[in-house]
Amino acid sequence: MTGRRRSLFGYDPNALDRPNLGPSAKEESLTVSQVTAMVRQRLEREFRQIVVVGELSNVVHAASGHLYANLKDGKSQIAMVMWRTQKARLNFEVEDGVEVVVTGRLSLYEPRGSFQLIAASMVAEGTGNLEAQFRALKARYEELGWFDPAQKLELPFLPETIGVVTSSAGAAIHDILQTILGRFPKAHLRLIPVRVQGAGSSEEIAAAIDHFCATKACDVLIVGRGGGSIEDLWAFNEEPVVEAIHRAKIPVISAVGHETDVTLSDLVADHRALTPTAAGEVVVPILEDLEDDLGDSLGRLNRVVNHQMASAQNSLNALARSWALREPLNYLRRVEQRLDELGRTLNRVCSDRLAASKKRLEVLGETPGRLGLLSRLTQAQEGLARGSSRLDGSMNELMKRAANDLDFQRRLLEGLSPLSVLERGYSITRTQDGKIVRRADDLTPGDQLNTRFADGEAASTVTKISREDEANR
Amino acid sequence: MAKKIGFEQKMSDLEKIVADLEGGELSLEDAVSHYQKGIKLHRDAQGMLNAMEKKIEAVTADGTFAPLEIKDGEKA
Repeated sequence: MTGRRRSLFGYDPNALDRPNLGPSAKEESLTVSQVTAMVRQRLEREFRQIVVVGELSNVVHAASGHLYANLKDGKSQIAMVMWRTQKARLNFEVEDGVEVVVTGRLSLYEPRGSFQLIAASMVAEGTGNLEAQFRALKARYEELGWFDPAQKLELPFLPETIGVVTSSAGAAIHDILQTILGRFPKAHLRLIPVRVQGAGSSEEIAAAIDHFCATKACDVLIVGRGGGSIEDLWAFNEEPVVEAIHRAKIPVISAVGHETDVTLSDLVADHRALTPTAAGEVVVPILEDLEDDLGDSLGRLNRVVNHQMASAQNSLNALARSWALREPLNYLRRVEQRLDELGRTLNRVCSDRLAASKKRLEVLGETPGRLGLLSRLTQAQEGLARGSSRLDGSMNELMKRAANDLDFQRRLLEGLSPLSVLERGYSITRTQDGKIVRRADDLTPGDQLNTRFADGEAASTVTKISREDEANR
Repeated sequence: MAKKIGFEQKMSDLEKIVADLEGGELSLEDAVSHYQKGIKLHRDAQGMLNAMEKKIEAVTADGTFAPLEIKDGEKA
Protein backbone atom coordinates (compact mmCIF):
# COMPACT_ATOMS: atom_id res chain seq x y z
CA MET A 1 0.00 0.00 0.00
CA THR A 2 2.80 2.38 0.84
CA GLY A 3 4.20 1.98 -2.65
CA ARG A 4 1.01 3.23 -4.13
CA ARG A 5 1.26 6.47 -2.24
CA ARG A 6 4.45 7.63 -3.85
CA SER A 7 2.72 9.80 -6.34
CA LEU A 8 -0.24 11.86 -5.46
CA PHE A 9 -1.80 12.03 -8.89
CA GLY A 10 -0.93 8.55 -10.04
CA TYR A 11 -4.60 7.79 -10.09
CA ASP A 12 -6.36 4.43 -10.17
CA PRO A 13 -4.22 2.16 -8.06
CA ASN A 14 -5.07 -0.77 -10.29
CA ALA A 15 -4.02 1.03 -13.39
CA LEU A 16 -0.87 2.31 -11.83
CA ASP A 17 0.70 -1.08 -11.77
CA ARG A 18 0.34 -1.56 -15.50
CA PRO A 19 3.42 -0.61 -17.51
CA ASN A 20 1.65 0.47 -20.69
CA LEU A 21 -1.56 2.33 -20.41
CA GLY A 22 -2.15 3.32 -23.93
CA PRO A 23 -5.17 5.08 -25.37
CA SER A 24 -5.42 2.20 -27.86
CA ALA A 25 -6.47 -0.09 -25.07
CA LYS A 26 -10.08 0.93 -25.32
CA GLU A 27 -11.43 -1.43 -22.75
CA GLU A 28 -9.10 0.08 -20.21
CA SER A 29 -9.90 3.74 -20.85
CA LEU A 30 -11.68 5.77 -18.20
CA THR A 31 -14.53 8.23 -18.35
CA VAL A 32 -13.96 11.79 -17.15
CA SER A 33 -16.19 11.12 -14.20
CA GLN A 34 -14.20 8.08 -13.29
CA VAL A 35 -10.99 10.06 -13.38
CA THR A 36 -12.35 12.89 -11.26
CA ALA A 37 -13.79 10.42 -8.80
CA MET A 38 -10.46 8.67 -8.54
CA VAL A 39 -8.59 11.92 -8.05
CA ARG A 40 -11.11 13.05 -5.48
CA GLN A 41 -10.67 9.84 -3.49
CA ARG A 42 -6.94 10.16 -3.59
CA LEU A 43 -6.99 13.84 -2.60
CA GLU A 44 -9.33 13.33 0.29
CA ARG A 45 -7.30 10.41 1.57
CA GLU A 46 -3.99 12.24 1.40
CA PHE A 47 -5.07 15.70 2.62
CA ARG A 48 -7.47 15.01 5.42
CA GLN A 49 -6.18 17.93 7.46
CA ILE A 50 -3.87 20.68 6.33
CA VAL A 51 -3.17 24.18 7.54
CA VAL A 52 -2.71 26.73 4.80
CA VAL A 53 -1.58 30.33 5.08
CA GLY A 54 -2.69 32.76 2.41
CA GLU A 55 -4.51 35.89 1.43
CA LEU A 56 -8.21 35.96 0.70
CA SER A 57 -9.46 37.13 -2.68
CA ASN A 58 -12.70 36.93 -4.66
CA VAL A 59 -14.61 36.56 -1.40
CA VAL A 60 -18.26 35.68 -2.03
CA HIS A 61 -20.82 35.46 0.76
CA ALA A 62 -23.38 33.29 -1.00
CA ALA A 63 -27.10 33.44 -0.37
CA SER A 64 -26.93 29.92 0.93
CA GLY A 65 -24.71 31.19 3.76
CA HIS A 66 -21.62 29.45 2.47
CA LEU A 67 -18.42 31.33 1.88
CA TYR A 68 -16.42 31.06 -1.36
CA ALA A 69 -13.03 32.61 -1.90
CA ASN A 70 -9.60 32.11 -3.36
CA LEU A 71 -6.63 31.65 -1.14
CA LYS A 72 -3.45 32.94 -2.73
CA ASP A 73 0.13 33.83 -2.20
CA GLY A 74 2.57 35.49 -4.56
CA LYS A 75 2.62 32.58 -7.02
CA SER A 76 -0.46 30.42 -6.74
CA GLN A 77 -4.03 30.26 -5.65
CA ILE A 78 -6.41 27.62 -4.37
CA ALA A 79 -10.20 27.68 -4.46
CA MET A 80 -11.63 27.63 -0.98
CA VAL A 81 -15.09 27.01 0.40
CA MET A 82 -16.39 27.28 3.95
CA TRP A 83 -19.83 25.89 4.78
CA ARG A 84 -22.22 28.16 6.65
CA THR A 85 -22.00 26.18 9.92
CA GLN A 86 -18.30 26.84 10.18
CA LYS A 87 -18.64 30.32 8.75
CA ALA A 88 -20.96 31.28 11.63
CA ARG A 89 -18.13 30.75 14.06
CA LEU A 90 -15.77 33.24 12.45
CA ASN A 91 -14.93 36.12 14.71
CA PHE A 92 -13.59 38.55 12.15
CA GLU A 93 -14.86 40.22 9.02
CA VAL A 94 -14.06 38.06 6.01
CA GLU A 95 -13.08 40.22 3.09
CA ASP A 96 -10.57 40.40 0.26
CA GLY A 97 -6.98 41.05 1.23
CA VAL A 98 -7.18 39.55 4.71
CA GLU A 99 -4.29 37.27 5.55
CA VAL A 100 -5.69 34.11 7.01
CA VAL A 101 -4.70 30.77 8.39
CA VAL A 102 -7.11 28.10 7.21
CA THR A 103 -7.45 24.61 8.60
CA GLY A 104 -9.28 22.16 6.36
CA ARG A 105 -9.13 19.30 3.89
CA LEU A 106 -8.67 19.09 0.16
CA SER A 107 -11.32 17.79 -2.17
CA LEU A 108 -12.26 17.93 -5.80
CA TYR A 109 -15.21 19.77 -7.20
CA GLU A 110 -16.21 17.25 -9.82
CA PRO A 111 -18.42 19.41 -12.06
CA ARG A 112 -15.39 21.57 -12.84
CA GLY A 113 -12.64 19.10 -12.21
CA SER A 114 -10.84 21.54 -9.97
CA PHE A 115 -9.61 20.87 -6.48
CA GLN A 116 -10.56 23.04 -3.56
CA LEU A 117 -9.82 23.57 0.06
CA ILE A 118 -12.79 22.88 2.33
CA ALA A 119 -12.15 25.09 5.35
CA ALA A 120 -13.11 23.88 8.81
CA SER A 121 -11.83 26.95 10.59
CA MET A 122 -10.12 30.16 9.69
CA VAL A 123 -8.46 32.88 11.72
CA ALA A 124 -7.15 36.19 10.57
CA GLU A 125 -3.37 36.28 10.52
CA GLY A 126 -2.07 38.36 13.39
CA THR A 127 -5.00 37.20 15.42
CA GLY A 128 -3.82 33.87 14.17
CA ASN A 129 -2.44 32.33 17.31
CA LEU A 130 -5.32 32.44 19.74
CA GLU A 131 -3.29 30.98 22.56
CA ALA A 132 -0.66 33.69 22.20
CA GLN A 133 -3.32 36.33 21.94
CA PHE A 134 -5.03 35.01 25.07
CA ARG A 135 -1.78 35.17 27.00
CA ALA A 136 -1.09 38.72 25.84
CA LEU A 137 -4.57 39.96 26.79
CA LYS A 138 -4.43 38.16 30.10
CA ALA A 139 -1.11 39.77 30.95
CA ARG A 140 -2.50 43.18 30.05
CA TYR A 141 -5.57 42.94 32.28
CA GLU A 142 -3.60 41.33 35.05
CA GLU A 143 -1.29 44.31 35.04
CA LEU A 144 -4.29 46.63 35.23
CA GLY A 145 -5.34 44.74 38.37
CA TRP A 146 -8.63 43.67 36.89
CA PHE A 147 -8.37 40.14 38.25
CA ASP A 148 -7.65 41.36 41.78
CA PRO A 149 -9.78 39.37 44.25
CA ALA A 150 -10.14 42.52 46.38
CA GLN A 151 -12.09 44.17 43.53
CA LYS A 152 -14.65 41.42 43.31
CA LEU A 153 -18.21 42.12 44.42
CA GLU A 154 -19.94 39.81 46.83
CA LEU A 155 -22.81 37.78 45.41
CA PRO A 156 -26.15 38.45 47.11
CA PHE A 157 -27.29 35.63 49.37
CA LEU A 158 -30.83 35.71 48.08
CA PRO A 159 -31.10 37.75 44.83
CA GLU A 160 -34.45 39.33 44.08
CA THR A 161 -33.85 39.30 40.35
CA ILE A 162 -31.28 37.28 38.40
CA GLY A 163 -30.11 38.51 35.01
CA VAL A 164 -28.91 36.04 32.39
CA VAL A 165 -26.90 36.91 29.28
CA THR A 166 -26.47 33.94 26.97
CA SER A 167 -27.72 32.40 23.76
CA SER A 168 -31.42 31.58 23.65
CA ALA A 169 -30.47 28.40 21.83
CA GLY A 170 -28.26 25.75 23.27
CA ALA A 171 -27.80 23.86 26.47
CA ALA A 172 -26.47 26.72 28.64
CA ILE A 173 -29.78 28.60 29.04
CA HIS A 174 -31.58 25.35 29.70
CA ASP A 175 -29.04 24.26 32.33
CA ILE A 176 -29.11 27.63 34.07
CA LEU A 177 -32.91 27.87 34.23
CA GLN A 178 -33.36 24.29 35.31
CA THR A 179 -30.76 24.50 38.07
CA ILE A 180 -32.04 27.78 39.46
CA LEU A 181 -35.70 26.78 39.44
CA GLY A 182 -34.85 23.38 40.87
CA ARG A 183 -33.21 25.01 43.87
CA PHE A 184 -35.40 28.07 44.22
CA PRO A 185 -38.73 27.61 42.46
CA LYS A 186 -39.76 31.22 43.22
CA ALA A 187 -36.82 32.78 41.39
CA HIS A 188 -37.29 35.89 39.29
CA LEU A 189 -35.20 35.65 36.12
CA ARG A 190 -34.57 38.17 33.36
CA LEU A 191 -32.97 37.13 30.11
CA ILE A 192 -31.21 39.03 27.38
CA PRO A 193 -30.57 36.54 24.60
CA VAL A 194 -27.38 37.23 22.63
CA ARG A 195 -25.20 35.57 20.06
CA VAL A 196 -22.26 34.02 21.89
CA GLN A 197 -19.95 33.38 18.93
CA GLY A 198 -19.17 34.89 15.58
CA ALA A 199 -18.34 38.43 14.51
CA GLY A 200 -20.06 41.08 16.63
CA SER A 201 -21.04 38.67 19.38
CA SER A 202 -18.72 40.17 21.98
CA GLU A 203 -20.24 43.61 21.40
CA GLU A 204 -23.70 42.10 21.78
CA ILE A 205 -22.77 40.44 25.06
CA ALA A 206 -21.19 43.65 26.34
CA ALA A 207 -24.28 45.68 25.42
CA ALA A 208 -26.49 43.24 27.31
CA ILE A 209 -24.32 43.51 30.43
CA ASP A 210 -24.34 47.30 30.17
CA HIS A 211 -28.12 47.30 29.75
CA PHE A 212 -28.64 45.29 32.92
CA CYS A 213 -26.36 47.64 34.85
CA ALA A 214 -27.80 50.85 33.44
CA THR A 215 -31.39 49.82 34.17
CA LYS A 216 -30.54 48.06 37.45
CA ALA A 217 -32.78 45.32 36.15
CA CYS A 218 -31.22 42.60 38.31
CA ASP A 219 -29.05 42.26 41.38
CA VAL A 220 -26.81 39.49 40.10
CA LEU A 221 -25.87 38.63 36.53
CA ILE A 222 -24.90 35.34 34.88
CA VAL A 223 -22.92 35.67 31.63
CA GLY A 224 -21.93 32.57 29.75
CA ARG A 225 -22.37 29.82 27.21
CA GLY A 226 -21.87 26.08 26.84
CA GLY A 227 -18.71 24.31 25.87
CA GLY A 228 -16.88 24.58 22.55
CA SER A 229 -13.51 25.08 20.91
CA ILE A 230 -11.29 28.00 21.82
CA GLU A 231 -12.64 29.75 18.72
CA ASP A 232 -16.21 29.14 19.92
CA LEU A 233 -15.47 30.66 23.30
CA TRP A 234 -13.41 33.50 21.90
CA ALA A 235 -15.98 36.24 22.39
CA PHE A 236 -15.51 35.81 26.14
CA ASN A 237 -11.84 36.72 25.75
CA GLU A 238 -12.48 39.85 23.75
CA GLU A 239 -12.13 43.36 25.08
CA PRO A 240 -15.78 44.43 24.86
CA VAL A 241 -16.94 41.59 27.13
CA VAL A 242 -13.99 41.78 29.53
CA GLU A 243 -14.41 45.53 29.88
CA ALA A 244 -18.18 45.38 30.30
CA ILE A 245 -17.81 42.83 33.10
CA HIS A 246 -15.09 44.93 34.69
CA ARG A 247 -17.18 48.09 34.78
CA ALA A 248 -20.38 46.31 35.88
CA LYS A 249 -21.71 47.57 39.20
CA ILE A 250 -23.78 44.40 39.55
CA PRO A 251 -21.97 41.22 40.65
CA VAL A 252 -21.25 39.09 37.59
CA ILE A 253 -20.94 35.30 37.48
CA SER A 254 -19.05 34.05 34.44
CA ALA A 255 -19.99 30.58 33.27
CA VAL A 256 -18.22 29.76 30.04
CA GLY A 257 -17.74 26.28 28.63
CA HIS A 258 -16.57 23.32 30.63
CA GLU A 259 -14.40 22.93 33.71
CA THR A 260 -11.19 23.02 31.70
CA ASP A 261 -11.96 26.18 29.75
CA VAL A 262 -10.69 29.41 31.22
CA THR A 263 -11.63 32.68 29.57
CA LEU A 264 -10.77 36.24 30.48
CA SER A 265 -14.45 36.71 31.38
CA ASP A 266 -14.00 34.05 34.05
CA LEU A 267 -10.98 35.87 35.43
CA VAL A 268 -12.47 39.35 35.49
CA ALA A 269 -15.90 38.30 36.77
CA ASP A 270 -16.79 38.49 40.45
CA HIS A 271 -17.35 34.77 40.50
CA ARG A 272 -16.28 32.04 38.10
CA ALA A 273 -18.68 29.16 37.71
CA LEU A 274 -17.12 26.13 36.06
CA THR A 275 -20.26 25.41 34.05
CA PRO A 276 -23.66 27.05 33.47
CA THR A 277 -25.13 24.50 35.90
CA ALA A 278 -22.61 25.54 38.55
CA ALA A 279 -23.68 29.16 38.01
CA GLY A 280 -27.25 28.16 38.83
CA GLU A 281 -26.04 26.47 41.99
CA VAL A 282 -24.07 29.44 43.25
CA VAL A 283 -26.63 32.12 42.45
CA VAL A 284 -29.52 30.94 44.65
CA PRO A 285 -29.82 29.01 47.90
CA ILE A 286 -32.19 26.05 48.19
CA LEU A 287 -35.61 27.41 49.16
CA GLU A 288 -36.54 24.31 51.14
CA ASP A 289 -33.36 24.62 53.23
CA LEU A 290 -34.16 28.24 54.04
CA GLU A 291 -37.66 27.33 55.13
CA ASP A 292 -36.31 24.47 57.24
CA ASP A 293 -33.79 26.82 58.88
CA LEU A 294 -36.51 29.35 59.64
CA GLY A 295 -38.80 26.69 61.09
CA ASP A 296 -35.95 25.33 63.16
CA SER A 297 -35.13 28.78 64.55
CA LEU A 298 -38.77 29.32 65.49
CA GLY A 299 -38.90 25.95 67.24
CA ARG A 300 -35.76 26.67 69.23
CA LEU A 301 -37.02 30.15 70.08
CA ASN A 302 -40.27 28.79 71.48
CA ARG A 303 -38.65 25.88 73.26
CA VAL A 304 -36.08 28.00 75.04
CA VAL A 305 -38.55 30.66 76.13
CA ASN A 306 -41.18 28.16 77.24
CA HIS A 307 -38.53 26.45 79.31
CA GLN A 308 -37.46 29.71 80.90
CA MET A 309 -41.06 30.72 81.64
CA ALA A 310 -41.76 27.34 83.16
CA SER A 311 -38.77 27.53 85.48
CA ALA A 312 -39.71 31.06 86.55
CA GLN A 313 -43.25 29.82 87.23
CA ASN A 314 -41.80 27.01 89.33
CA SER A 315 -39.76 29.40 91.44
CA LEU A 316 -42.86 31.54 91.95
CA ASN A 317 -44.91 28.53 93.00
CA ALA A 318 -42.22 27.50 95.45
CA LEU A 319 -42.27 30.95 97.01
CA ALA A 320 -46.04 30.95 97.25
CA ARG A 321 -45.90 27.60 99.01
CA SER A 322 -43.32 28.86 101.52
CA TRP A 323 -44.37 28.82 105.16
CA ALA A 324 -43.98 32.54 105.72
CA LEU A 325 -46.42 33.44 102.97
CA ARG A 326 -48.85 30.66 103.64
CA GLU A 327 -49.04 31.20 107.46
CA PRO A 328 -48.11 34.84 108.01
CA LEU A 329 -49.83 35.01 111.36
CA ASN A 330 -48.02 31.97 112.73
CA TYR A 331 -44.78 33.42 111.48
CA LEU A 332 -45.50 36.67 113.27
CA ARG A 333 -46.39 34.89 116.49
CA ARG A 334 -43.17 33.06 116.41
CA VAL A 335 -41.33 36.36 116.07
CA GLU A 336 -43.34 37.77 118.98
CA GLN A 337 -42.47 34.81 121.12
CA ARG A 338 -38.82 35.20 120.38
CA LEU A 339 -39.03 38.90 121.26
CA ASP A 340 -40.71 38.13 124.58
CA GLU A 341 -38.00 35.67 125.33
CA LEU A 342 -35.29 38.19 124.57
CA GLY A 343 -37.03 40.80 126.76
CA ARG A 344 -37.15 38.40 129.66
CA THR A 345 -33.50 37.52 129.30
CA LEU A 346 -32.62 41.21 129.23
CA ASN A 347 -34.59 41.90 132.42
CA ARG A 348 -33.03 38.97 134.17
CA VAL A 349 -29.51 39.93 133.25
CA CYS A 350 -30.09 43.55 134.33
CA SER A 351 -31.61 42.72 137.70
CA ASP A 352 -28.94 40.08 138.38
CA ARG A 353 -26.22 42.58 137.85
CA LEU A 354 -28.01 45.20 139.93
CA ALA A 355 -28.37 42.75 142.76
CA ALA A 356 -24.69 41.85 142.57
CA SER A 357 -23.72 45.52 142.69
CA LYS A 358 -25.99 46.13 145.68
CA LYS A 359 -24.43 43.25 147.49
CA ARG A 360 -20.95 44.56 146.91
CA LEU A 361 -22.00 47.97 148.15
CA GLU A 362 -23.46 46.49 151.31
CA VAL A 363 -20.24 44.61 151.96
CA LEU A 364 -18.29 47.76 151.48
CA GLY A 365 -20.66 49.70 153.78
CA GLU A 366 -20.08 47.25 156.63
CA THR A 367 -16.33 47.48 156.53
CA PRO A 368 -15.06 49.21 159.75
CA GLY A 369 -12.75 52.17 159.62
CA ARG A 370 -14.22 53.44 156.48
CA LEU A 371 -16.98 55.42 158.11
CA GLY A 372 -16.32 58.48 156.07
CA LEU A 373 -17.33 56.55 153.07
CA LEU A 374 -20.73 55.60 154.45
CA SER A 375 -22.54 58.75 153.45
CA ARG A 376 -20.99 58.65 149.97
CA LEU A 377 -22.02 55.07 149.64
CA THR A 378 -25.55 55.84 150.63
CA GLN A 379 -25.56 58.59 147.98
CA ALA A 380 -24.24 56.26 145.39
CA GLN A 381 -26.77 53.64 146.33
CA GLU A 382 -29.59 56.11 145.88
CA GLY A 383 -28.15 57.19 142.50
CA LEU A 384 -27.99 53.62 141.43
CA ALA A 385 -31.55 52.99 142.48
CA ARG A 386 -32.66 56.00 140.42
CA GLY A 387 -30.60 54.82 137.46
CA SER A 388 -32.02 51.35 137.78
CA SER A 389 -35.59 52.57 137.78
CA ARG A 390 -34.87 54.84 134.80
CA LEU A 391 -33.34 51.91 132.99
CA ASP A 392 -36.39 49.82 133.75
CA GLY A 393 -38.61 52.67 132.58
CA SER A 394 -36.93 53.13 129.21
CA MET A 395 -36.65 49.39 128.70
CA ASN A 396 -40.37 49.08 129.32
CA GLU A 397 -41.01 51.96 126.94
CA LEU A 398 -39.00 50.26 124.22
CA MET A 399 -40.71 46.95 124.73
CA LYS A 400 -44.10 48.61 124.68
CA ARG A 401 -43.34 50.37 121.42
CA ALA A 402 -42.17 47.16 119.79
CA ALA A 403 -45.24 45.38 121.10
CA ASN A 404 -47.46 48.14 119.64
CA ASP A 405 -45.78 47.79 116.27
CA LEU A 406 -46.28 44.10 116.34
CA ASP A 407 -49.84 44.52 117.41
CA PHE A 408 -50.47 46.85 114.48
CA GLN A 409 -49.00 44.37 112.04
CA ARG A 410 -51.02 41.59 113.59
CA ARG A 411 -54.21 43.58 113.28
CA LEU A 412 -53.49 44.18 109.64
CA LEU A 413 -53.03 40.49 109.07
CA GLU A 414 -55.94 39.59 111.23
CA GLY A 415 -58.14 41.93 109.23
CA LEU A 416 -57.75 39.39 106.47
CA SER A 417 -58.88 36.54 108.67
CA PRO A 418 -62.51 35.41 109.11
CA LEU A 419 -61.99 35.59 112.85
CA SER A 420 -61.92 39.38 112.69
CA VAL A 421 -65.32 39.36 111.03
CA LEU A 422 -66.65 37.49 114.01
CA GLU A 423 -65.05 40.12 116.25
CA ARG A 424 -67.42 42.64 114.72
CA GLY A 425 -70.44 40.71 115.99
CA TYR A 426 -71.05 38.22 113.18
CA SER A 427 -71.15 34.50 113.82
CA ILE A 428 -71.02 31.32 111.77
CA THR A 429 -73.68 28.70 112.22
CA ARG A 430 -73.09 25.12 111.10
CA THR A 431 -75.29 22.06 111.05
CA GLN A 432 -74.08 18.97 112.82
CA ASP A 433 -72.35 17.64 109.77
CA GLY A 434 -70.31 20.86 109.56
CA LYS A 435 -72.13 22.58 106.66
CA ILE A 436 -72.49 26.33 106.98
CA VAL A 437 -76.13 27.43 107.27
CA ARG A 438 -76.79 30.14 104.72
CA ARG A 439 -80.57 30.06 104.42
CA ALA A 440 -83.49 29.40 106.77
CA ASP A 441 -84.75 27.06 104.08
CA ASP A 442 -81.86 24.71 104.81
CA LEU A 443 -83.20 24.01 108.28
CA THR A 444 -86.04 22.03 109.82
CA PRO A 445 -87.22 22.27 113.44
CA GLY A 446 -85.26 19.96 115.71
CA ASP A 447 -81.92 20.43 113.88
CA GLN A 448 -78.92 20.66 116.14
CA LEU A 449 -76.79 23.74 115.38
CA ASN A 450 -73.37 24.87 116.34
CA THR A 451 -72.64 28.59 116.34
CA ARG A 452 -69.15 29.95 116.34
CA PHE A 453 -68.47 33.40 117.90
CA ALA A 454 -65.26 35.32 118.10
CA ASP A 455 -64.49 34.01 121.54
CA GLY A 456 -66.15 30.58 121.56
CA GLU A 457 -69.01 28.39 120.43
CA ALA A 458 -72.61 27.62 121.43
CA ALA A 459 -74.89 24.65 120.68
CA SER A 460 -78.59 25.16 119.99
CA THR A 461 -81.69 23.43 118.64
CA VAL A 462 -84.06 24.83 116.00
CA THR A 463 -87.53 25.28 117.35
CA LYS A 464 -89.27 27.42 114.74
CA ILE A 465 -88.58 28.62 111.21
CA SER A 466 -90.17 31.65 109.65
CA ARG A 467 -89.34 32.77 106.16
CA GLU A 468 -89.06 36.40 105.18
CA ASP A 469 -91.52 36.14 102.27
CA GLU A 470 -94.14 34.53 104.55
CA ALA A 471 -93.64 37.26 107.13
CA ASN A 472 -94.23 39.90 104.45
CA ARG A 473 -97.49 38.37 103.36
CA MET B 1 -22.14 45.84 49.21
CA ALA B 2 -24.85 43.51 50.43
CA LYS B 3 -28.07 45.09 51.62
CA LYS B 4 -27.76 44.98 55.38
CA ILE B 5 -31.46 44.74 56.05
CA GLY B 6 -31.81 41.89 53.60
CA PHE B 7 -32.88 38.35 54.11
CA GLU B 8 -29.41 37.11 55.01
CA GLN B 9 -29.08 39.76 57.73
CA LYS B 10 -32.41 38.76 59.21
CA MET B 11 -31.41 35.12 59.19
CA SER B 12 -28.11 35.80 60.93
CA ASP B 13 -29.76 38.13 63.49
CA LEU B 14 -32.29 35.43 64.22
CA GLU B 15 -29.53 32.84 64.60
CA LYS B 16 -27.76 35.07 67.10
CA ILE B 17 -30.90 35.67 69.14
CA VAL B 18 -31.63 31.96 69.32
CA ALA B 19 -28.02 31.25 70.34
CA ASP B 20 -28.15 33.97 73.04
CA LEU B 21 -31.39 32.55 74.40
CA GLU B 22 -30.02 29.04 74.38
CA GLY B 23 -26.97 30.28 76.27
CA GLY B 24 -29.34 30.67 79.23
CA GLU B 25 -27.53 33.72 80.61
CA LEU B 26 -30.39 36.14 80.06
CA SER B 27 -32.78 37.37 82.71
CA LEU B 28 -36.43 36.53 82.17
CA GLU B 29 -37.08 40.10 81.09
CA ASP B 30 -34.25 40.08 78.51
CA ALA B 31 -35.29 36.64 77.36
CA VAL B 32 -38.80 37.84 76.67
CA SER B 33 -37.58 40.89 74.74
CA HIS B 34 -35.16 38.68 72.76
CA TYR B 35 -38.02 36.34 72.06
CA GLN B 36 -40.19 39.17 70.74
CA LYS B 37 -37.37 40.35 68.46
CA GLY B 38 -36.79 36.80 67.28
CA ILE B 39 -40.43 36.28 66.46
CA LYS B 40 -40.49 39.52 64.48
CA LEU B 41 -37.35 38.56 62.52
CA HIS B 42 -38.80 35.16 61.80
CA ARG B 43 -42.05 36.68 60.59
CA ASP B 44 -40.22 39.23 58.39
CA ALA B 45 -37.92 36.62 56.84
CA GLN B 46 -40.77 34.22 56.20
CA GLY B 47 -42.72 37.13 54.75
CA MET B 48 -39.90 37.90 52.33
CA LEU B 49 -39.88 34.30 51.12
CA ASN B 50 -43.65 34.24 50.84
CA ALA B 51 -43.64 37.44 48.79
CA MET B 52 -41.34 36.00 46.12
CA GLU B 53 -42.79 34.35 43.07
CA LYS B 54 -41.48 32.64 39.99
CA LYS B 55 -41.08 35.00 37.05
CA ILE B 56 -39.22 34.47 33.80
CA GLU B 57 -38.87 37.56 31.66
CA ALA B 58 -37.01 38.47 28.52
CA VAL B 59 -35.90 41.82 27.23
CA THR B 60 -38.24 43.52 24.76
CA ALA B 61 -37.52 45.87 21.89
CA ASP B 62 -37.82 48.96 24.12
CA GLY B 63 -35.34 47.56 26.65
CA THR B 64 -37.89 46.65 29.32
CA PHE B 65 -38.59 43.12 30.44
CA ALA B 66 -41.78 41.20 29.79
CA PRO B 67 -42.86 37.69 30.76
CA LEU B 68 -41.39 35.15 28.40
CA GLU B 69 -43.86 33.20 26.30
CA ILE B 70 -43.04 29.56 26.70
CA LYS B 71 -43.53 27.99 23.31
CA ASP B 72 -44.25 24.45 24.40
CA GLY B 73 -46.61 25.59 27.14
CA GLU B 74 -49.58 26.02 24.78
CA LYS B 75 -51.37 22.84 25.74
CA ALA B 76 -53.09 24.28 28.79
